[in-house]
Amino acid sequence: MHPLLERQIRRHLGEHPETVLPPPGDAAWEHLFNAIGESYEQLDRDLLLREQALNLTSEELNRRNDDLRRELAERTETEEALQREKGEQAALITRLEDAKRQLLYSEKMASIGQLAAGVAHEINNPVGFVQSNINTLAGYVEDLFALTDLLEEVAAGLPDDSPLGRKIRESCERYDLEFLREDVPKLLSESRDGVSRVRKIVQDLRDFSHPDEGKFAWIDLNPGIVSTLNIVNNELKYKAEVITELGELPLIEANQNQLNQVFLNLLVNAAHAIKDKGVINVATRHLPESGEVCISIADTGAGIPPENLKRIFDPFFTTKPVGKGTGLGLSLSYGIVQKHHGRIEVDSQERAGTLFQVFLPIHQPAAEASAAGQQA
Amino acid sequence: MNNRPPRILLVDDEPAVLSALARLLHRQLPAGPEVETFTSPRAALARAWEVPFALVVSDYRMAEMDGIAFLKEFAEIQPHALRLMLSGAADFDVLVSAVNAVGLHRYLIKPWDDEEVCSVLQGAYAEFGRQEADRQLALERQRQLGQLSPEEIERRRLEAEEPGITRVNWGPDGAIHLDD
Ligand SMILES: Nc1ncnc2c1ncn2[C@@H]1O[C@H](COP(=O)(O)OP(=O)(O)OP(=O)(O)O)[C@@H](O)[C@H]1O
Ligand SMILES: [Mg+2]
Repeated sequence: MHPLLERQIRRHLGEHPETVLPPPGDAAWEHLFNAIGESYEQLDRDLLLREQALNLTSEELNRRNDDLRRELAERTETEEALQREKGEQAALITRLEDAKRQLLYSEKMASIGQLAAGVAHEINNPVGFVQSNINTLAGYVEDLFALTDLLEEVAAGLPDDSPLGRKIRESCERYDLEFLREDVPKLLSESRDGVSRVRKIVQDLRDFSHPDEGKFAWIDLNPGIVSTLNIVNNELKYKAEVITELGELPLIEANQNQLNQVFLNLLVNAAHAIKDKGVINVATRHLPESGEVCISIADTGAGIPPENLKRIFDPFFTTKPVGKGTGLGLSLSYGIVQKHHGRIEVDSQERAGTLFQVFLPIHQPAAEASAAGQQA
Repeated sequence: MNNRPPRILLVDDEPAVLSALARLLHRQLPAGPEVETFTSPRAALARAWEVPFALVVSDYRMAEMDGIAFLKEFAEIQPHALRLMLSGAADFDVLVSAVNAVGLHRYLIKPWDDEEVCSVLQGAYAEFGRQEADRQLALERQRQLGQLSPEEIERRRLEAEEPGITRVNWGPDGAIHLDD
């Protein structure tokens, strides 16, 4: 029995209710029942209160929960904003780096351009008169040979025992007139060829250093590669056998001069990588499935160690001695190819060689396309 | 007009360019006009005061003075001579300013093409002959119409023989002062 109930029974029915109970109808019963009723009511009230208290607590908990949830959402939002900001910053940094690269590129090109213009002027003078002199000399020599023809004719007309005739024949033999007649035209044509090559290099250099900034046109890459090969031929020819496999290419939307710059950098790098003697393979091919063309330049040079492979496109990364490399070649090339919406892939094996592949789309996205349209 | 045929004047501060051109013209145009060459534009200008030229061909980049300045001064002495430029700097800015500043007849680039140089010079020389004949004709007509005083006729004769003689003051140092 609940001690409280026991106490109430004792209070109303006496100390020993199990032996002496008041008779029915006695007021004691009524008091007892009232007391019990009251306790129940009290209990109900307590329960109600407790329930109310619980409700309150639960409400409070819910509120707290909501607060927490809200707080959490806010936190995520801030986090996201931070993340976004970080992304924007990274994009900004990339843009800044691009701009810096571009600036360096144009600075370098401007100084090459200045140099080329000055050099072109200086070289064109001697090339001009050497070329012209060779032509004039050819005319002079022709006249001289006409004269020797006449001399031989005269000698042939003289009697066999004529001392003058003998003297003429002897002189013709001594000076090896036959050989001279054969060799002089060869000598002149080789010299002419040499001068015209110099002339061409100067021309290429000048064309090369005037990249008409950012202009896209429909171009055939192969002649550009040939002209670039002409420029670097001097650097290449003592070190490498250059094999070209130029496939048939569709016209692509691109900037000729900038791409020539890319080819030049890749070719010079290939030549530098070759220590004594090697092979440089230059190939172009059309990839109709992907709407691209691919220019590959492979060398049998030193290769690139894996730890450097990630860094070769960084501006100023170079393994070459001061004065030989500025470390800009590849970063500039990368920028140019990126501007063409293309990509450069490298495959290198130490001590075996390196393969650079430039993939360029045939069509540029709309903005550049209209520029090419205006050009055409 | 006079018994001396008008000459061709070549100016370039590189002597070998001049001798190559002189050789070329001598050989290709043996019956053509006499050719005079100068490495110094100043000396060429001094010579321009002495004898008339049909054509003047100048380099652009020269140490003493550039080709445009030279041709400009030359044109003041001999306005009728046709002016040509032969330059290694195929720089279109130079070309445009040369054409505008000195009324350039032709612009040739170095390294030059022998045949082109010969045919251009031949053509220019013939053009000068035509212009000169027109001028003579006009002069003759004016004389016939009695529009020219005997002094004026004499002035023009002198001018044709010694360019600028009627317009010039010689400074104490031998320098030339134009009276505009
Ligand atoms: N074909 C290659 N074979 C081996 N190493 C290469 C090759 N191409 C590039 N590299 C490495 O990448 C580096 C960076 O090349 P990059 O063209 O950017 O600069 P660089 O050639 O050193 O100098 P720059 O091109 O400005 O004169 C080189 O120094 C070289 O170590
Ligand atoms: Mg390089």
